[in-house]
Amino acid sequence: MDGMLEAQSDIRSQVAALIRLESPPSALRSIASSLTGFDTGMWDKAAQAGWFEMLVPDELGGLGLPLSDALLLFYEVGRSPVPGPLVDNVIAAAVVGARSRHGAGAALAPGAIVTLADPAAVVAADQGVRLDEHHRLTGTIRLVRFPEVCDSLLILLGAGDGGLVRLPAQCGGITFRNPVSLDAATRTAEVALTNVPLDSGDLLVGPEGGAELARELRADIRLAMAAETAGVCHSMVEMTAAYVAVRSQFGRTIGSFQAVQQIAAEMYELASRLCSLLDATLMDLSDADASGRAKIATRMSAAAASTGREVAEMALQLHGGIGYTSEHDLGLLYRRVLTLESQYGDRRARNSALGREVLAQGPAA
Amino acid sequence: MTALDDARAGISRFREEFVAWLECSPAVAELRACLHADFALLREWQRALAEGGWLAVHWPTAAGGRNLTILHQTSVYEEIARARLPQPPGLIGLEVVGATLARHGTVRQRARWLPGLLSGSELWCQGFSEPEAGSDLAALRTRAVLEGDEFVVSGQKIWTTMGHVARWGVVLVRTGTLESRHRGISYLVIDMTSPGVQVHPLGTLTGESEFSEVFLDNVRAPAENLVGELNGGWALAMDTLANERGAYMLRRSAELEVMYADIVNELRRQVAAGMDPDYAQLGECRTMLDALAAQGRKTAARLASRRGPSVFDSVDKLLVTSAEQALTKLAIDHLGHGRLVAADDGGAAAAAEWTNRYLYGRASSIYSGTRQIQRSLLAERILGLPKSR
Repeated sequence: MDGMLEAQSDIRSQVAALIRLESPPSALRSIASSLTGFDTGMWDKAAQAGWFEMLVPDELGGLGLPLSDALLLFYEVGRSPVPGPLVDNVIAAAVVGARSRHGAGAALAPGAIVTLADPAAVVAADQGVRLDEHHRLTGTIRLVRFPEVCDSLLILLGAGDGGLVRLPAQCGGITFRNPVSLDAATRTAEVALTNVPLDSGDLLVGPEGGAELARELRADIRLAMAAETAGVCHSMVEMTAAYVAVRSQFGRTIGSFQAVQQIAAEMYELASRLCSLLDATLMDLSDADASGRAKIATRMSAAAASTGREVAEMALQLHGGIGYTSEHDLGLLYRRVLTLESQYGDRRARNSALGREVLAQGPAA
Repeated sequence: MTALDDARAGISRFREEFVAWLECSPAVAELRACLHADFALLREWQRALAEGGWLAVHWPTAAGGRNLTILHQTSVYEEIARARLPQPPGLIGLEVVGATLARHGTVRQRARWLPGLLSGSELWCQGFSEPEAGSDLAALRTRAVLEGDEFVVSGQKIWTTMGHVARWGVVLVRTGTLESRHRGISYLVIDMTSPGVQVHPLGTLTGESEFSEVFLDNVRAPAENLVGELNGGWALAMDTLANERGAYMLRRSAELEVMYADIVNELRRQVAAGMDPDYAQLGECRTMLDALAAQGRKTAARLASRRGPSVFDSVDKLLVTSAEQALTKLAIDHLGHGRLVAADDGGAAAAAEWTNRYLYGRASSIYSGTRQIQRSLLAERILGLPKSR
């Protein structure tokens, strides 16, 4: 689609090629209907392609690529969803590895799949997980991605304690409850911990670095999800333009009707706005420090939440009945957008947070 | 533009110089001294800016510019807005007509018209739209017939911004048949003081007279006032519109940033007074401005490359319009007469001003190609959908 995202890269084309081959919509559908909603086939290919090493620093044996490259990956993932805890393993594992007091080896056993349990993933004021005086963890974290298929859980502790612990996913005192399929590419569950004893090695980042780590993790994950939303929007515009160009009624393609064109154009307008913002973000990230990055993330994720669902609603309207059926791929993207806007704040929460941030700044120039 | 953008474009120093000039300019002091600047004062303001060398800096030196980039010029308008000063009154000349004359005018035409256009001693208007040719501009009927070495022009123009104060006007006139549509249109300069020119200012929803109806009855214009080729006016008009839209987009983005800052400052007072603004709406407006700034980088690159009109001008127009309307909606939702926090300095005047800004915002999806026209263009040229009627 002409002019949507300007940033081109080898990463984009490689990721797109891999997804086309290993995780086309047909594969996504069959995986979604499987027991775990996860398949090691695509995952292993992604691992071989270096997805899970791209952000790991050189000195820890990774590829040492900048976050902007990961955002391009997520943009392509948005264009054609891939099941599994991707942000957890592309981003969280690398960030934690780089900051962990035990070095990356401790956080990242080769091939191990991790998921991040972060109480801030939900808007509700959940308590998260607390550490008691006997070094035991208790509490519940919601919206944890694919805990059943993971080897390790990375758990961000509540505000009082701070820090991050890593626990084996299968361990006494940990249960997974209320699993849901948010969309074909995402399963989540609540992770409940009851008096889980902590070994000295489990605390990867202590209270002293905890707040900073949490801020960095959340910024990067929100950026990834926003980039992914932009990719989904791109696909929805493309899919809709293609559909209205062939669907015919009253003896002409429906794309020749003004009423249809106006909506299609508005979809492009909204999607390209998000894509331009992503282009600017990709450019600005290299100069941004941690607080700058968090600021960019707040804005990007607010913009994504304001865009994704609206584009999806218009895409559905222009597809008509067929778009509402599970036969059509639009539904995969629509539900994906809803998933992406429901983690780390929804439309209201993200935009309110941004509005509060704006008001809290010093008087404007 | 952020400091980073400035650094990339190499304009940090230029901007600093202009800000320094603003701080010690007597014209600025004069403007600040009076609450409502009258038109004569505004013209003085433009003259001061032109003499300072701050206008049309992106034009070639031969045309009176400084051979800098459009980003330099934008930074000037941006700092004017940031200083809460009015823009120079001759913007139509500077951004629209002047750019076209500078590029397509003969040496003689440029020498005759550009100095006055720059200094503001001669204001310009542009007569494109007609009562029966609005969105469908190529249907225009105002006719010009060559008689000897003069064109004789008859017809009617409407929405002519600054028509009531302009000394010169560029008009798109039909020199071919009506059926020839855009291939039979020329770009002609007329003296607005000529016999046969009648200007009726139109009052607007905001209570001002910004544009006029212009009636042309056998108005004579020397043949040398033709800019470009006979029947070659359409390409110039499109070039004009591309300039207009790009420059407008960048300038308006800057002005909207200032408007947002003003709204934010007012909301801070409300919060301090115990009122609760709609933070989400405030946040959404922020993201729209961010996206506008992001889009602006692409626009700046496009303008710098001088590739001429682009379908992305339509995208720009749509984005500016949406942002402006979202912002003015934020304003009318929060800064109406019943909500403004009482201030020592004329709260009622401020509320009235916000109401006008809101109304002016509603016009933004109508002027210079309606939202629907822009979307039709986008659907056709970017999405590849069939031409529709």
